[in-house]
Amino acid sequence: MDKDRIVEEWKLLYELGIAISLTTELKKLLHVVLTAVTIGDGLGFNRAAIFLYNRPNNTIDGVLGVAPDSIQEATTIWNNLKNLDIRGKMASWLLNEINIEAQRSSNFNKSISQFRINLGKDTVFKNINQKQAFIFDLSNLGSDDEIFRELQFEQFAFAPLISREQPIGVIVADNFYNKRPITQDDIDTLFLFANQSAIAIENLMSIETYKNMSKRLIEEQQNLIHQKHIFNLGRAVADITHEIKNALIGAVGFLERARKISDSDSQISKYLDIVKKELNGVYNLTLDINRYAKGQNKSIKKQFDLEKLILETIETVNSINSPNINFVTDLSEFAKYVYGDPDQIKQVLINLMKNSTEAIANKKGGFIKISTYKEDKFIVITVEDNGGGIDIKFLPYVFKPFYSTKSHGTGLGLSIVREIVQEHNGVISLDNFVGIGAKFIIKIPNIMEEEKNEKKDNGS
Amino acid sequence: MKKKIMVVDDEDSIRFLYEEELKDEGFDVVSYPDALSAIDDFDNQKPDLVLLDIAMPKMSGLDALRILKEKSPNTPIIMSTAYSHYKQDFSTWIADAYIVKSPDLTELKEKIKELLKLNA
Repeated sequence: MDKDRIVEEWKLLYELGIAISLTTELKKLLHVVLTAVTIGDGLGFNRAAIFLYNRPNNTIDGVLGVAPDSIQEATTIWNNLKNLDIRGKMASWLLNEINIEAQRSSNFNKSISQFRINLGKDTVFKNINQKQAFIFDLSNLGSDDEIFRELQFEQFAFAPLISREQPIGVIVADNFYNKRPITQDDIDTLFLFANQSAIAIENLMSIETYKNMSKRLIEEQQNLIHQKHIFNLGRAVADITHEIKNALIGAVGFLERARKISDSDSQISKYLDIVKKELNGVYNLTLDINRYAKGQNKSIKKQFDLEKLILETIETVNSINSPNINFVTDLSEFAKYVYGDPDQIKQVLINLMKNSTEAIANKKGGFIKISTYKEDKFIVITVEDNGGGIDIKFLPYVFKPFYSTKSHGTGLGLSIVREIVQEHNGVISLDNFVGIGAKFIIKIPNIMEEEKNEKKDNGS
Repeated sequence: MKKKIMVVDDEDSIRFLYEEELKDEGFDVVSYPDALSAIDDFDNQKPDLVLLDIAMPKMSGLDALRILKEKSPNTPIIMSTAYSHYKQDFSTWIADAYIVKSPDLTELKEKIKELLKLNA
């Protein structure tokens, strides 16, 4: 490279550097960079594209391509530029004269901006880790590089964008229209320019991420304030309607009594009827308001991962028991999901496991076995132990509240279990083997399955 | 012999309404404005059924429910409240019935008769 050329290159990079450093918006920066790569007084390529490395997905995503759509358009642009003397004022030209919308509407940009490839594929993009620029041709392409063949990149410059030693993407450029061969000087300059651009792109990306995050935070904060406001309002409404309702119950109740002892044909009785009707209206209004103000705080049923819940619950139970209990599981993949309130089902499992734990305490070879399977329209969960079973004389009372054979129990465990199962429209039964063990069997309707079948029926 | 019902409710007019209506139905009624005095008098009165409000100052009906059920598991207890959401609360599940307060006492009277096995 001769001395004049080096000075020229240095001047050019200096001008481009000013343009880049004065750009504060990422989208515009990408246009500035690619315009600089494609204008005759800049790096002089015919077409250029930026691809960015998407680290979380390990993909290369096309973000922008700048190129005229036809040789006619290219010639027009070049002729116009020839008449413009932009030497020495390149920076301000780049900052002020780029027609962003026109550049975006090119077919070339449409192809590039829709492009995405995984780096696990056979692709030339694997070279983004290299700390140098290349002149590639068709022989360098991988088998998954259709985009280069489709866009007819026969010979092209490939300049990785490296910022703080990390690849953040790549600039690809070629001379599609005038077929001018790419020289080593071209890519040397492009590589220097790419490095300069990479730092600016990364900085603006960080700023953009930060801006988005703080915007989201502000939105969320406002949301929270709003929710808190609604929540307080809901509480106030509930308190007020409670008071009104209680007052009305007394009022209407005694009104009714007064009406009963008054002569049914009398004026008084008629007036009382009217008062009662009006008060009933207010009473029904409070019911409606309450119904509306509630809505939360109920049991929340949904399709959930039963297998995961069982394993978690075993862990919970084991974490409060030492030494660990010997749990055996036999969980069917056909009973992996169930429709219900996970918190309540967990309560069921904990209560049953707790009982079994006490039954097998101090017993050699004691175990608790949890099984799941599908049976007709039910998901079945069984909890069984070899703790000797339940004495036959206690059997009628096992689900009774406050009935306990233990000195410390509340006697509520199994009655809660039964209530929850019933709440789920399920059934619970007990297989008791005196001297061997007990097995609780819970059947919960497999609601998802029914819905699916209904859909199938409708479809046929 | 007349069956005895213990009414616990902090609202004076509601308590009085229950008293009057239940007496009309032929029950003996003893009533208390708070749970503590009801619990104190429970062994003395030996009611056949308890009608218990939930939201009360000093001691809530939920706490009273537990204490009364421990004292006498076989005495039926009806929870009565303006809110229906307590139905989902575990702690009410040990009650024998759950009534949402209303000026129309038909449902309450039916439940009482059902629990005292007075239905024909």
